[in-house]
Amino acid sequence: MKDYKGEGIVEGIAIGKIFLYQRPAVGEFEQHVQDTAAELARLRRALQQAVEEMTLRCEKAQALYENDQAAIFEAQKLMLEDQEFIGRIKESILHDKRTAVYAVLQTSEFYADVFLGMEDELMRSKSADIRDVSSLLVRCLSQGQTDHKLLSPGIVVADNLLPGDLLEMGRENLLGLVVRHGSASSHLAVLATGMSLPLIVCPDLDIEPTLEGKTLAMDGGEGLIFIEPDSSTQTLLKEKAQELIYRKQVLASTGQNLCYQGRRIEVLANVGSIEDIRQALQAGCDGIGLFRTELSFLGRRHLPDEEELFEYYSQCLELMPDRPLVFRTLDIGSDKQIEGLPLPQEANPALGCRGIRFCLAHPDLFKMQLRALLRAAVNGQPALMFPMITSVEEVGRIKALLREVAENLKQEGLPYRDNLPLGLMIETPAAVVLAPELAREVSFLSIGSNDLAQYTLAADRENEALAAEFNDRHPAVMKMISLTVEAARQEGVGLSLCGELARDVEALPQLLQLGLTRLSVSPSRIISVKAKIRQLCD
Amino acid sequence: MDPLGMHARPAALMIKTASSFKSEFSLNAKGRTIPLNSILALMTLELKMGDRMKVTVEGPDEVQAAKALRAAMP
Repeated sequence: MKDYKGEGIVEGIAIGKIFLYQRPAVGEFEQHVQDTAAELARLRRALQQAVEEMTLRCEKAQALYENDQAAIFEAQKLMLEDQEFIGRIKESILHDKRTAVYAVLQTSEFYADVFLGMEDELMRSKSADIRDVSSLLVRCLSQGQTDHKLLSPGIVVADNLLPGDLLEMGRENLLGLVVRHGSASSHLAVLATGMSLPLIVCPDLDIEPTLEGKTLAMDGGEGLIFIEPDSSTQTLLKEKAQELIYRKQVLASTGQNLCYQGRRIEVLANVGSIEDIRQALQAGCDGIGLFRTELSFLGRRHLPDEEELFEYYSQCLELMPDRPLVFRTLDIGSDKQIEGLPLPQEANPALGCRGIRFCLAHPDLFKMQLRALLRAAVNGQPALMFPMITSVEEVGRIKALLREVAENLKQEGLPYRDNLPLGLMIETPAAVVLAPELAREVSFLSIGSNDLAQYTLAADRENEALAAEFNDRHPAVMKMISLTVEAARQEGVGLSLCGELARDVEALPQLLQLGLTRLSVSPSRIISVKAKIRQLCD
Repeated sequence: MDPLGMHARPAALMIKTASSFKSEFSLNAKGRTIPLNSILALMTLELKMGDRMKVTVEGPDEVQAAKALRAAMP
């Protein structure tokens, strides 16, 4: 038995026969050619075939994975059709009398080197894309002589693997992957994660032809590799595999209801995009407690229009027909500038015209968003929530605008829903002291613990010097939360807490003790927060 | 622009926009001029936030084309 320790990228246990995977290197091909015209014709046919193949890959990836993974192949298709790329290959054939295969590989290495020389890791990873595209082209040029589909179960061992290689192998017989080069951020890692395929990167592994067909056992979580493992190692790993399966079942059960002292506890998600919603659903969220709608306004040249927002909100609601989705209206201030709507500089943006103040100061923009929301609301279980409330009067103004928008939609004959549950963010001390009055106006309150802590403690969240003492767990903040819980209970309205505090597993016992039953956290925290609550219930 | 550099998505959008017009686009930055018909050429320029670039548009639909590209720029 020989063992290696590498970096475990994707968790999982696999034991199986080794398949060595090798892509031909540049030097192994014929380099020169006399008939350049014939070579150009071969290239043209191969390009055509490769584009067809790539289109198939895109479709396959879309069917198999989420958008992020499918996008890898969309980007590769653009490279395959790139005029400069093809131009360079042609030039190498015409001027240097290279074979098409050699010209492709040479051009591919040229771009790969340029990308590898870049500072940004994401850009460096594009080198794998250009190599993948080129290897497809080479395969088409070699008349598809190499078929890499795995015909019996096995573990693939390779120097490196490209996303296209993985699709070629097929999932059914693939037990695991061991590569010498790669990283957790590579496309390979993204795809392997999506396929739940154990993956280890191990630069120390000597890839010799004698490995072919030998037995390999791997522990993807620990990065452990055993060649020809002895029986006790195999038994140990098989036991661990059983345990992993059991743990997955426990995770899958996160959909079950959680209770604390007889009260149902719900864990919802804070999201900013449709991708976040998908992630939250996968993690088993009980709904979306906070949808930050400002993200569709930021980082772009023009403001979105009503139709665009309507489409977007509708798509979000279609994703979760059976669980609540709370849209928080535009929450921006002069510290988050949006293009196309320059805001005057403020000496103190945190205390400036932000949140609902901004919306009420820009009624046309606000009404546009409300129209999109009311129209999209005919599907699913939406609710509306308003940020940075400091007075009952603001709620009156919001309701008047909602009435106006609904009236206009009615006159225009557009489908809409106007009896939506309304909620207010409790994130200022003013809102806490007015919580009973505010609660009488709406269906629910939601504590934004980050801002509430900042405004209660007069301490800037971003100021590291203050972070240790003036945090969300400060007694004054807890008192504020407790007051709000009391007000919501007295007035019989719903209450949730969204903010960093909700995902702080140390603070959870105290929050549940205070009587909070709805917590909203980032999608990646749902599983750990639910696990902690389950522990507290036992 | 993304402080880390021009990534595939914005680059793809610029190339797609440019290809939908009859006019010829060229981009000048970092002392190099490239035609705006290649995503690889654009990405390998390694443009970063703060880099100045100049785009020239020439052709029958240049006014509309320039407007559309401006909207597509990160």
